[in-house]
Amino acid sequence: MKVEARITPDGALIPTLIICREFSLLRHIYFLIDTGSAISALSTKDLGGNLDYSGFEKKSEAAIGVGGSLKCYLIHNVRLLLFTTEIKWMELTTFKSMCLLPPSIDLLTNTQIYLPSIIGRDILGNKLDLYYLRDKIYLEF
Amino acid sequence: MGILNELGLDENRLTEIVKKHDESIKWMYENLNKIQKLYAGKFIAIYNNVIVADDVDRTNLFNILKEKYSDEEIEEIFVDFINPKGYILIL
Repeated sequence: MKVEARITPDGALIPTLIICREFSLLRHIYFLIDTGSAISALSTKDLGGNLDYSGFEKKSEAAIGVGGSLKCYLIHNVRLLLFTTEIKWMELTTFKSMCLLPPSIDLLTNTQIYLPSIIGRDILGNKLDLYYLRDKIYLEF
Repeated sequence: MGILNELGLDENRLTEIVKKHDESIKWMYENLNKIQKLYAGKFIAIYNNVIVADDVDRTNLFNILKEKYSDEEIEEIFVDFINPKGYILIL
């Protein structure tokens, strides 16, 4: 089965369904394919935006990237389903804990900015094969 | 029987929602320059290729939508955050 990405200026996005009882979350979310990330992560923009992080478990490692580092939090038992080109939903995995990416601050405008939710190498090349072609990007089971 | 039906969810309905969101995200990126000028730093709600609401807070945005739209319509509304103009993602 294949999952074809939606190609955008921000990169290749794949349609998913996220189910998380901890937040009564059942939501269609686009994840960015990111081979540079060791793990998949959920952006808080897709969870709810402005959140009170005091109740969240803090992830032991921060996330680093070109722009600096971010403290990360964890949400638990997140089920990830993918929408395939065969117009079927397929359950891919359940993350026992999933990294939650909070917003960061744009130092030029002093406003909040959000990273997208990302699918990383815990999935890419592991549970799914990635095909990155000139005119099409897709994942295959 | 699909996995969503096994979970007690309406698979056909969720598929319709994805199609609506696909249309909206395509429209959003086609019009991103204009959208960023007007809505940078805000969450926006797109329905039938129109921005129907915006707010800096996602919860407030949903409260605005709840006043105007049915639950079924809200499911079809695509919500995203608009980062300021002039940035590229290097992850």
